[in-house]
Amino acid sequence: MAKRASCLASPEFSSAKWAIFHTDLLETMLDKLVLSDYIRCSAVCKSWNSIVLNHKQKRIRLSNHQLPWQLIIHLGYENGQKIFGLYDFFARTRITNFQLHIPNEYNSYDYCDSSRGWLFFKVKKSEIFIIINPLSGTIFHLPKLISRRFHGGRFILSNDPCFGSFEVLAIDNFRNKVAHLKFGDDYWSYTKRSCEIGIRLFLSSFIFYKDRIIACCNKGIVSLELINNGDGDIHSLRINVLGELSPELKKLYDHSCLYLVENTNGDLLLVVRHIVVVKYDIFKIIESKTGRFEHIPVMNLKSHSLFLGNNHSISVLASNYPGCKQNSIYCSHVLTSLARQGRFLKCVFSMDEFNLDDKIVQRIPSVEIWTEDQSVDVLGEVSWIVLSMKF
Amino acid sequence: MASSTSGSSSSSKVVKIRSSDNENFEVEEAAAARSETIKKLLEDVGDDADVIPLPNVDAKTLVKVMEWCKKHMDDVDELNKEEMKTWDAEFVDMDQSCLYNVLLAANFLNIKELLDQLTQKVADMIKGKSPEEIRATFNIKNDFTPEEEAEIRKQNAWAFE
Repeated sequence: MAKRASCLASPEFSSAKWAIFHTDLLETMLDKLVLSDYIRCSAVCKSWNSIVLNHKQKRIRLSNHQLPWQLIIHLGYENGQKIFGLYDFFARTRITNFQLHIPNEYNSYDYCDSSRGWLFFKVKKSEIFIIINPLSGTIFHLPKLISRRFHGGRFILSNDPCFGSFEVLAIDNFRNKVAHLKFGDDYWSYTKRSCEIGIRLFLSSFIFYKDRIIACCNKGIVSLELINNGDGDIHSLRINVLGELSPELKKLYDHSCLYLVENTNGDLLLVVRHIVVVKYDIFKIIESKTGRFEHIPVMNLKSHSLFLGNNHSISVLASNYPGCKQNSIYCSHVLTSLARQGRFLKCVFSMDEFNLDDKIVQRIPSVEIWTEDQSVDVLGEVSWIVLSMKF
Repeated sequence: MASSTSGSSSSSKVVKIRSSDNENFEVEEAAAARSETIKKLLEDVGDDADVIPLPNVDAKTLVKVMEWCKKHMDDVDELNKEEMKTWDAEFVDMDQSCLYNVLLAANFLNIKELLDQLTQKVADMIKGKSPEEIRATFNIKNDFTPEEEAEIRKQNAWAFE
């Protein structure tokens, strides 16, 4: 190989200029980073900063594939103030290197839910809801939810509201009602009682998936579609059954929790959590040529793992995060131990780690907090939270 | 066109390519055609081509890229997948200035799989690092004023340890 020998003697490489690297190539590389690495790249130099900022819109869509933290709200034991704590459950530590921007006045508001890094609050004794970005302090007010005393409990956002245009789904689990809002509209649209189908539908898990609102119910997979009532701007939500659940799943419906989650590849997954003997089954939802939805079992998540939550579920590429096992399901929010000490309570939260290889559920203690005795009811609320980026 | 590369079977065709610093190389066509750019040039000039000039790639970089192309000339069967993975990992394990040049060459020569491996390598070199460490790794000068940098860090403080 005489050729090779001669070229090794050739002059040194021209020096690398990473600061002014090809924008396209830098963007391809940025796509392979998790959000925290991505943000750190913005502080490297001016040209990287501008590429990161130009790329942000695409990036934010991926925020639901970040490792979530846990948000736990409780009353502090020093002054009785409400504390919003973020916890890294793999490291079992509270995240303290930054402040959440939640104005003090929200102490008298009820926290409802979290979606896409934003928090939902309800003004006490009213039907007024607001959403707040805990990083930037940005607040949006939502129109009143008033339809025969709608009790909004769960909220889901279609996308990060920082770009100004978004949809909200409010779910009243007690009354089996759902309301929908396109931000900017003055009124919410509500589901009607679905009598035309013959049986009553009990809706459970919801997701904004590819420009549609998909949900599970006791009969099958449904979509929620806005229809015009014929009187001006008033719309209502129509439930369309897209596909039936298998007979086994229908039988299981009352003894399981269902979760819809979009995985990192953009597929729609249905996860069934059996309550009596805790185990998980996963199905992939596919649309047939006739437009019907079918679900087929998935035996393996490969290099991915899922985080299941009542508000929203998250899919991540496990290898990006130390401590996170691939082919596993994480299900959180379980209070497993309470110990009283004077006026204070020590609460330990745990999460289930279910590995699809060996089908074993392990209960791992994750976060420990101290709270004032009376505030135990506040502890009902522990949710996964993904942080978005502030620009 | 005469083939002078020893060891290659008589049936495999050889093409000549020239680096920016005027080094000539003879490469099996199947390897060179991993580059969409060379493939297209070959289609355009047909068999009359004497030497294909690659004005954006120096000899040292071209050797590196062709080493990869040669290894990836044939489709890999399942058995060799693991071995190939190890080879690829060793291949991309180069210093940052080498990586920079090979990355630009892979982009110019339009070799998608190699580009993907190299951008992944850059991403791996960034993972978990602070901005200071990233600058040190890639020899990048900090051109922010202290105030500007503090402001950027403050905005998304959660991402900075």
